[in-house]
Amino acid sequence: MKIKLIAATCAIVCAGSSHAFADAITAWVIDGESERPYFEQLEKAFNAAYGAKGTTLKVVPIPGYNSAIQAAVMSGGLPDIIMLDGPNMANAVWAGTIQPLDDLIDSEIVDDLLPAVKEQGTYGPDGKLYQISPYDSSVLLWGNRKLLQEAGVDIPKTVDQAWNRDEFRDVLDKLSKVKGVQWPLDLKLSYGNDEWLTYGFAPFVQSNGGDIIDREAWKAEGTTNSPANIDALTELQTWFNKGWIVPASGGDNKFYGEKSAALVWVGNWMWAAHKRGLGEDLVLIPAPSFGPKGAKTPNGGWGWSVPATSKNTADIKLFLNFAMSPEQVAAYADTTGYIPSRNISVPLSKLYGKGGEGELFVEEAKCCAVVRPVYPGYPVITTAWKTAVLNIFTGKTDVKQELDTAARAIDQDIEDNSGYPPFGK
Amino acid sequence: MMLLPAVVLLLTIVILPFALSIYFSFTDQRLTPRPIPTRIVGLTNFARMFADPLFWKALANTFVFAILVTPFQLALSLAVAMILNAAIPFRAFFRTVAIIPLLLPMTVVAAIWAVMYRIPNGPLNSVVQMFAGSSVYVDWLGSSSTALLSIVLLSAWATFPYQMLIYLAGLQEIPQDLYEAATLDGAKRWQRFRYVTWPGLRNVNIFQLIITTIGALKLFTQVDMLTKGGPNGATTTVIHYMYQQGFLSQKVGYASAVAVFFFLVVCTIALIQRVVLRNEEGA
Amino acid sequence: MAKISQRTGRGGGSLALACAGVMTLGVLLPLLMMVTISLNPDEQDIMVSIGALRSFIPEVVSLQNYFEVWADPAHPFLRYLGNTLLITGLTLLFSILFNSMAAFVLAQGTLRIRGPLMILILASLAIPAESLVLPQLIMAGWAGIIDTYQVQILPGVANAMSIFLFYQFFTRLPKELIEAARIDGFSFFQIFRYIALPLSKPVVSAIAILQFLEIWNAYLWPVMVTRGPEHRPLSVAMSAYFSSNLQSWGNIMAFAVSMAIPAILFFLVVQKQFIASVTSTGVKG
Repeated sequence: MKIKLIAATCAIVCAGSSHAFADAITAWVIDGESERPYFEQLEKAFNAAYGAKGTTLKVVPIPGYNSAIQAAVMSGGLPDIIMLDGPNMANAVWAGTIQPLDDLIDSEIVDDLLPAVKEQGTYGPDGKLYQISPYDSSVLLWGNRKLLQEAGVDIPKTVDQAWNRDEFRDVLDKLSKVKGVQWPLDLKLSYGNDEWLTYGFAPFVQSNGGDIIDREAWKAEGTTNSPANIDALTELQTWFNKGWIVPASGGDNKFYGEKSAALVWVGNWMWAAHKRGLGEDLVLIPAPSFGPKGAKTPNGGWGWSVPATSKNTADIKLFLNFAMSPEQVAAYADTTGYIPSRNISVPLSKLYGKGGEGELFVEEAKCCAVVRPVYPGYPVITTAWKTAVLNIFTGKTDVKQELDTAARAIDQDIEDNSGYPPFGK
Repeated sequence: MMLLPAVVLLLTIVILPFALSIYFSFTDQRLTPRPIPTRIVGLTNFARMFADPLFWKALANTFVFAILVTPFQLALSLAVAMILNAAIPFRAFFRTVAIIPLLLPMTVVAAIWAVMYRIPNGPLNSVVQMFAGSSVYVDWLGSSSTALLSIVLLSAWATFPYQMLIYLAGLQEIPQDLYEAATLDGAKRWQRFRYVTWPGLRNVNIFQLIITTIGALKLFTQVDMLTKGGPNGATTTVIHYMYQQGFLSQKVGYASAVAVFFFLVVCTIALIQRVVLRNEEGA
Repeated sequence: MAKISQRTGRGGGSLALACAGVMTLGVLLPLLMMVTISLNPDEQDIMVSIGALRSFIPEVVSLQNYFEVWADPAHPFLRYLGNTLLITGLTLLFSILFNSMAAFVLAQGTLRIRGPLMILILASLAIPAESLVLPQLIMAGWAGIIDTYQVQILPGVANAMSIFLFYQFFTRLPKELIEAARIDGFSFFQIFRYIALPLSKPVVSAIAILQFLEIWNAYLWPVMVTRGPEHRPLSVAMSAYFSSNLQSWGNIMAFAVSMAIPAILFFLVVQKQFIASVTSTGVKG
């Protein structure tokens, strides 16, 4: 009786897992509403092009992506191709999880990448490419034209005209007095303890001459808690305490839904939602220049990587070249609202081509983008930084103390990992 | 042969991991492999743990939660049990209603209460606005001063039926003639409770106190879903801290130290409760 | 086993009835709100009315949110439900089978290592499951069973509490009964299979219901060991759905209602045993 039960369990359990055929490749992708249609299209297009020649592609969207990858690394179940968030690439290389792409993709594609995208995918110690992203991202200020006009503020159009800190503060002050504006600015604290808190907030300190870590010495003490960082975040905290910034529990839609926030600092992925919510009232405003270094913007995002365990290199090569073809890169951008990562695809894109509504994003990507550090310790750097930012806003804690704590946590992790050799040698 | 499956499972799934967690707590074990070897680090994990203010905050929150939720939840469930033990119309209906929260998984309860606590215009804030004016709202889950209390309230709502059922059974074990005798002696409602009901629930109370406290120490689900331990660590608990360090940050060695510590705390509390209550009984 | 009878306690009256009314409101209002919001297809309207009276009484009745939830390919509700049922069913089956067998041997057998085994079981009872999850996760990685059903079933089967409850019951079986069966030529296993196990029905139902509640609420372990919809149970799916659809309250509440209904139905069917098993663990302690 027992044996029967066990056999029955096994039958049920085993039926759940599918085994790939030699000529079928599987790619795990992130599961987001804006990306889903693109991946469906990618699978169809690839299979239409290569299915008859014997290579088929299966694209699997995975909710809760990072822990899924972690689980697969632990029990050895990675597929042929995965997506990785740009700044986590270095850690995966260091841990031996992924292999270089240089032999898996045509060099003219690599040469055509936006410089910041290429920088994001290149691992310092061996100079090889380990991650290739079909898109780039950026952040700017989105405004509600009606509310801005009611407040009587001038709206800058190009990066040279970007608000400096005093002007920005003045704008918020004026907006706070407009009827119907509950919060002048949304900094998307609602994303919670998310990569956003590093990605979206680092530009403020970088513009002020600071950074999240010293990129030469790979040391946090003195940089993560530098006076420039403290100054920039203290300013934002003051604004928050004045009630100018939507609190974390305020939800996602204060700007585009309830329209009780007049400005929002967020990335290009919000295109569709903002356009739907505000229509003609939507206005794009360049990133503010928060300090002496001028306007800074974040960049990068998820891209394709190949696990070290993947053997089927011929088919993977087909896939990577296909997914990074000018048409696919443009399609990714137009479907998701992201910026195409290849120069050749920019004119093909409706949003970001010359005269397109998103031209400002492309301009920013060229002038102001700062790549997040390509360093194996990044997961801890970002966790420490995120915690500090979150506490500064939600806990109203002392900025210096929070950044000191973050710096200590980062340096301790680097020490615990013997300096992440070959870094630090 | 009949013994084998259960014993093997207990050994591999409970005892071996327990031994491993003690071993890991003295190493810098990671969750996923890394290119540098895992080392024995002695008491470093414990030293760091005791030096981390967030750990102390997690521990304090866990205790505060247990100290708040236990009496609140027990009083609530005893009150409801007494009402439902009385001769009232529609009693079967009321009993069924009172059990419903227990049937909802905690994740569902958390989702419901996320709406209740919404800012600026959720149901609870509407109540606040009725008294304090329409522009005022309380950021229930988002401000350090109310977040833990909000978690207490929703947790008590979610699990009080369990204790209520146990109280209900306890109430019915109290011999009816004791009440009759008390009434004959002229005891008022409160006196009947004080001198008949309360002593009659003695053993039930001991059990309830222990299971509710231990349950409270394991607080995790609702915190992870609603606040992720924030704001500023105001709702971090020991289990959430362990999860964060061991799973999200992959520091299994360090988190194992937390787990070992947690185990000791739970054992100590259970022992203290037992000893104190037993002594009291003897006195 | 204590039963909650229909016996009437004292002190009924209008005050008690009023209190019962307040309790009912306290329990039902949040649930009414959940149902009302789930029936409203207009997210904007939900946002505006969320604290108003009409978020408690449905004005519109539309099943649109429900259809969206059940048809969402990224969050296959029926798959989650199936996963939960499968995990629950197999956990209960193996837990009851293995643990009752072991308990019977411990209670009625003539085993020399009974002492150490009882210590093992009592020790296992004292270890909170939460403090074991990390080493268990590492071991699951070694065994290559992360993101499977097995990894979610095994910890529930290795259940000292379940052995303990059976053990308590089996030690109280009348000696004469066992003796008589032995004289009739029953083997030890047959005595267990045909006499002890059928007699232990109340324990079986108590364990079944308590473990059902446990699995239904399981969160920490399945969060760590499942990575996608394939093997994920409902409780974790609810949380994942909640965080990925933060603004569609209508859909989230429809998901919540869809999840609450099977549990409430189950309860209505087994109400008597349910109450008995909760209280049985209680009074005995």
